[in-house]
Amino acid sequence: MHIFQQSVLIISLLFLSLSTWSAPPEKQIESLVFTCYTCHGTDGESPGEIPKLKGKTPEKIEEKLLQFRQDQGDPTIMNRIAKGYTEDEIKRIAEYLGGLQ
Amino acid sequence: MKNNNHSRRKFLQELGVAGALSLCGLPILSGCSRQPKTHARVVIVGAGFGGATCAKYLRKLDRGIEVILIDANTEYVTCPFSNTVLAGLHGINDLTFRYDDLVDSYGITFLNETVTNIDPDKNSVILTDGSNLSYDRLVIAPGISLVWNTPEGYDATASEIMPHAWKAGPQTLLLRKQLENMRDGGVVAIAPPAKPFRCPPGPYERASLIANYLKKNKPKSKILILDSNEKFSKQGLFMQAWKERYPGMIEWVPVTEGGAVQRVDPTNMTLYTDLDEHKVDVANVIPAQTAGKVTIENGLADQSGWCPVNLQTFESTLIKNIHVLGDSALAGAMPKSASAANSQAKVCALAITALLNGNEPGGPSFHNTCYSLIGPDYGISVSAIYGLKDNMIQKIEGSGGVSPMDASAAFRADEAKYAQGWFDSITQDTFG
Repeated sequence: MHIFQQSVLIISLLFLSLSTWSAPPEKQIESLVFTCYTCHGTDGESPGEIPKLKGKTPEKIEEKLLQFRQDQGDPTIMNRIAKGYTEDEIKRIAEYLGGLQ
Repeated sequence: MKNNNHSRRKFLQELGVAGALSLCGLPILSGCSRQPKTHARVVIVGAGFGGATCAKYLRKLDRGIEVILIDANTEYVTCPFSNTVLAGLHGINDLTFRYDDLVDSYGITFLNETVTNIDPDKNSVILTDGSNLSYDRLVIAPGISLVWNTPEGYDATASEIMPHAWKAGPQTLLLRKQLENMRDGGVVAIAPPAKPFRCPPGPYERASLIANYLKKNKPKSKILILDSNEKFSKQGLFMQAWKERYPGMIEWVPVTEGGAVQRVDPTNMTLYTDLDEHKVDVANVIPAQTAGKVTIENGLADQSGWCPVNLQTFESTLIKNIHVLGDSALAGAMPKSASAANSQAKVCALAITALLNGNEPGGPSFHNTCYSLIGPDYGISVSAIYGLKDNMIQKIEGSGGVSPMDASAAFRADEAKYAQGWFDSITQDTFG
């Protein structure tokens, strides 16, 4: 390997490690879904007027959250909440909640 | 450092135990227990929204953690929805929760006790009967302490005449009784302290729901908010709603117009501001607040009167192995609310579970939703999602905000319905 290529590699690795170092840790999936449980009940089993999440498919949950993010789907508050998550986070949340038995 | 090495050593010992347990499936070892062996003890002081949620989620995450939940009361009366009791819409029993489900379903030990002291060098708390209780991690979630004589003359005795009702229970019932006994045409004063205080929209929801009661029962009466602040949570929505529902009934005097109450005299029911004195029929004086007494007395609060914590774990930055969460903690952009305490408790439970199992705590996500009722069919809300950025809890850009202005009656009615749903869910998520 040429010295030039080597230096590029070393510098890139250095930057990569630096950026990893300063970035906040990826949000833990449990922490993401636990935020839902405050209003939707533990494990999505809401006891009252707020819709249950348990028993819904991952596809349905993802579709609804993405709609809410666009102020669609007749939200009262979920549009304001769904905008707090990235598309990737929404996918992870939907997969977790959709897998609850 | 010593403690750290100790718990690590202990943890490694437990790993050996866990290794043996994993062989339980084999016929040759069929006699051994399938119950996870306790590998650590977490003691939690304060069984409100923060403490009870933390207890439940620790056990949900790891049955190998022994959780001891300590509170001076055997049941908890929620501050959320306590304004509906003032309006006669709910009874206090609707707001009262016990710890039986946490004990029965989650295997939490509940101790009806008071912690008098913390000994961080020995990792133990001292109870009123003089006994010691050791911990691997301690969680303190005591809510707020009221600062007497702020305003001047307002102390525990004065609060029996001019109730604060900022801790729900007997104080809530006292204020309700005073409203019931008041003459038609009376003046009810509400005096919120300068920020920060527990439940930022609380005083204004209180004004709304007292107005709801008075309009039906004593329509000549007035509500006077003598405010030590120049603006307040959901202000535009509250003011729009007051104009719509209770025209002429609620007067708000901000600090900039001399609203701040400096002194009270309970003997003649008078509140003194910089410029004026107000003789009233019912006085709801909400005093200044700090972190819970147990944190102040044990060196967990800083000069601000609140507790600095690592916001990924809620471990105190002042004393190792002790976590502080909820109203008492300095939690960046999050308000002092039941919803925030519930959210922080889950982040804390995840972090403690990770630490006790020798793992790095993961990235946290936080949420807050607070509904306020204007009347039984009129709700408004504020909400936000938060993350950790530059070691601070910050609102995720673009998320959150308040209900829209000028919404339809149907929209407001839906939010009132969801306010009740929120209450049913958060109390289940915390106590059930």
